[in-house]
Amino acid sequence: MTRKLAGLLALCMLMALLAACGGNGANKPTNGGNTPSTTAPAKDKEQPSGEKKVIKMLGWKQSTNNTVIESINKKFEEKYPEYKVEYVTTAPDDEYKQAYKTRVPAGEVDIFADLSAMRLSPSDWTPGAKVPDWQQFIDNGLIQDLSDQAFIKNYNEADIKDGGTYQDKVYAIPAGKVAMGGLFYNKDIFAKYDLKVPTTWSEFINVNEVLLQNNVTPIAMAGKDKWPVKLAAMNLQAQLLADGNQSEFIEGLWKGTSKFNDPDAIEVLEKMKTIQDKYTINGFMGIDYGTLTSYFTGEKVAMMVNGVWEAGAVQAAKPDMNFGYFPLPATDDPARIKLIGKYDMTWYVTNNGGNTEGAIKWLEFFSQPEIYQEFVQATGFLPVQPNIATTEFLDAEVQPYMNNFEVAYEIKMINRDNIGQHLEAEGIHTEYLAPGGEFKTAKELADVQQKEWEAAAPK
Amino acid sequence: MQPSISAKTISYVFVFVLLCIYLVPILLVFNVSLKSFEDYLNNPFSIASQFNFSNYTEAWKQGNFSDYLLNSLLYTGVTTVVSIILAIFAAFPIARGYIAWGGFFYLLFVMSQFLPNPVVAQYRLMLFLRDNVHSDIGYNSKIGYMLLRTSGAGLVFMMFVGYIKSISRELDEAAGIDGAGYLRFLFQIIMPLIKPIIATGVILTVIGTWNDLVGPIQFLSSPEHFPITAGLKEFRGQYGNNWPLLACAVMIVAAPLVILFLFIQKYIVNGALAGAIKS
Amino acid sequence: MYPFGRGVTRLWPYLLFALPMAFYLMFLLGPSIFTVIYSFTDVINIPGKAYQFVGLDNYKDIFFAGNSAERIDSIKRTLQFTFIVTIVQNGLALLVAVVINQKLLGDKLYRSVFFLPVVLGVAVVALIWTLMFDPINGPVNKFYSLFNYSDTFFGSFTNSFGYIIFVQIWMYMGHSMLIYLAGLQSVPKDLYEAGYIDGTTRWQSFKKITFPLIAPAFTVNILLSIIGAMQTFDIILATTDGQFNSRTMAYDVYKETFRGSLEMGLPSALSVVQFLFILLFVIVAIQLLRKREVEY
Repeated sequence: MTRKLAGLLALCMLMALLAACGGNGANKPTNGGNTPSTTAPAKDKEQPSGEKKVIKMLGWKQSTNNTVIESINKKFEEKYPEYKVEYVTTAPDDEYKQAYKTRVPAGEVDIFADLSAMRLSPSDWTPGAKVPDWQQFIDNGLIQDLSDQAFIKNYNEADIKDGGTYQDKVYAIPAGKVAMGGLFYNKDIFAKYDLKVPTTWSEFINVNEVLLQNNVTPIAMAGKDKWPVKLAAMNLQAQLLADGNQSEFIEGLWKGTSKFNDPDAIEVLEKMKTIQDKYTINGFMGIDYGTLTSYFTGEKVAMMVNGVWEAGAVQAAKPDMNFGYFPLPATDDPARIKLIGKYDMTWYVTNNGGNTEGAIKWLEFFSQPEIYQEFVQATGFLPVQPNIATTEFLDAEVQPYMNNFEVAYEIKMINRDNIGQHLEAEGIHTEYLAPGGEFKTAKELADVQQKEWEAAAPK
Repeated sequence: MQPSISAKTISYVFVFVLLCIYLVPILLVFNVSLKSFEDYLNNPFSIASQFNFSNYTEAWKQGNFSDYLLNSLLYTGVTTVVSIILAIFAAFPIARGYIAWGGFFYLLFVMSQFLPNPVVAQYRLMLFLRDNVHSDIGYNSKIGYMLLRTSGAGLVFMMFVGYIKSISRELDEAAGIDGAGYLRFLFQIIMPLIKPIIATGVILTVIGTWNDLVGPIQFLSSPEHFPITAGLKEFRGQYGNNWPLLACAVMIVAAPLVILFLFIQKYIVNGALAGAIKS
Repeated sequence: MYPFGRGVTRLWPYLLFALPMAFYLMFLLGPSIFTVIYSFTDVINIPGKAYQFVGLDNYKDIFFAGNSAERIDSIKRTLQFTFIVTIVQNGLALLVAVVINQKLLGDKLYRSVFFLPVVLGVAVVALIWTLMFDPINGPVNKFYSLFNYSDTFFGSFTNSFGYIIFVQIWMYMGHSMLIYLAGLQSVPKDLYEAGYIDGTTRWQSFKKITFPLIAPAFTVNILLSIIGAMQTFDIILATTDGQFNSRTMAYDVYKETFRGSLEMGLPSALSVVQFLFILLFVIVAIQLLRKREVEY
């Protein structure tokens, strides 16, 4: 037995040795540079001659985005053979946050994407608000100033100003906008029951009722990850809060002129409660975002709450599916309908990663209209450059609503430091409503939210 | 005392029920891993009609497991061997009282199991090592990660102390009279004597390193250094709802440890954990 | 006293001990001490950036800020988790160990199977149970439907924490069981025979003979369970990700350290509070267990 044990350990050691020796070329075909170049300290900017300079790029997993970025990287490497792009992705959301929080300060990243554009920056009316990560990075000199780069001009001025400018300097490129406050719907099912796209809250309720009468489950939402539920709530917020002026509501919260338990805020919660209780698939609180789309493509439901970026995944899962998209209406006035969204995937170039100039080259390459077009078409983002063609889906289903496009509550809202869980992550968390959650009525939740908001006031 | 027949029956029923609670989930995952995706969607938990071993090759390829597996073997093999040796170096003199302040050091080493989370300072330390010592032993390096994972303290140390205490001191004295040196005594006499507890130490250390979820994201940034858990995560991110492939990945990650466990399980049960008791 | 020579050779134990000590100091104890220091500062996760001492501000933020109620909930939940896991896991493990120890057919198989989840690791165990607890068409929900019941499992505010406790016990019961088995196997058989002749019942023989003899195993298991349970975050991370009222102190430490803001003072303070809690528990448990051992 000892011998076996010793043998096993020896085997491990041997394998280990092999791994260590074969570590470079054999291990990772996509990694052209040999080990020293990738593990080199940030300060060590000199590269041995004849070797490719590595651009370390960090992103999150989303298969359509990753595919197109890899294809762009390939073209970039063909055009600039002296560079090699090492594109690393992690799971989306929190794990991504963990990755950039440690790797950017460590100087292990040359270019990375933030999950949304600059936001949450404290304002003069938000005493005591926390400084967000991107701003701390900039304040501490980790982010490259892009103001003088010529490729900035390729983008709409307004979008660069909203999504990439901080203290009058351009530090980021928002790669596209997304709309996310609506529902995908199955056109065949709608046609079968003679249903039209609803433009008012009553029509929306009617659609759901008809589906229910015909034993079709109307809606799927991914409750387990919480944020997908927020998408629907935010679309209601944009239309209902302060009569459709949510910025006023948000500023009012800080100044004490509006409250989370005001009638308009309660109406948002109540309407969400109606949707959750009556029309959403049973057990939706257990559905995680990764499986949400399969309920829609598997025709277990007629609609799903999701962002427009998911269109590609729907098509990929079921190429012959006949589907559309509409914003969730909140009132009975069709003129007040809005579609909320945000800037997605915002590129920052670091200046401590060892290859800032390569990263800027990449961004320049990326910003060329034909490359950008490829990117937008593949990801399903709404373009932030002028004269870019979008996908058929976006043209037909989303563009008609873009006149009423508005940045989402989660982007506009500036939270207080140490805020309670019923308001954390810039959301209103309707998942806390019964039956899933503990609050029987919208009012109860709203009261707790207002209490938490006041408790978090700076002392 | 002979248990009665009915008591035996109750015992068997009890064990059988428990066995089901343990085996059914694992077998179900195995079953899912053999199914095609369509089959799974239509009929998630029926017995797989045909064995889709192609799932495994597919998962193996998609998850980059061949790269990650080698890294995991390296990390696990090296940290385990070094940790065990370090634990013996620490446990033996403390168990025997050959160094001053033994009791204090014992408590200090046992406390390593619940110290305040050191990760922030570790992160800074690794950056310091990378920038000021050598890039191969600091942040984002294989050796750096192994240094962090290596430890002679904790539960394994505690068990070693307990077990060594149960070995007669006369042995030391006899060896001393024969003129054996300290180091030789440790490696040639003590180590073979404490084999069972070493086996336990090995399995516990191996489990800890092999299944490390957090360390790799925190301290390794290049994919070429990622261990096998990173492969599993990559998988979960990419194939969130493709359970057959996901189940294959689960099996691939779990298999090496299960095999190791089968090799040395006899030791672990037969008296090995007694070490923990004797302390 | 020291049998391996005199003079310089007397230094060997110290020399070799210095190795693990150096590792421990440099990579674990040292960084932990820094955590205590950081807990009194406004340090952020950007190396080289100067930081200042802010006194007890971080601790005040834990107990008196806007979300302190949740932090206290986390602490309560940690205690609940620790109590339930410690008691149920040990009770079950002891029972299983006693049952298996009566030389059942296939006893070796049983202990291997029950230990298997420990070997599989948290990531794998979490995936296994996520599949089992699939809220729609999952096997457990199918089973529940026999009783006209259904659940969203890890997506349920009221039940998710219970399921996490279940998975935790499922995972680590085997480890406790092995330690009890090892203890039971060291109990001499003739002791029972003496008891049998005296006409004791099974329960009495267990109470009077077996239990005192496996008391050391009991002590070790209780301590391991307490320390383990109070530090558990990975199973929570991999199943609910702290959602649905399932956060514990250890999860909060993880969340604030890795996924919160760049500020590291608060998570450091949380770590210190967690450490003090565990220390207190361990000391109390040792006192209680020692008292009991003396009684017998």
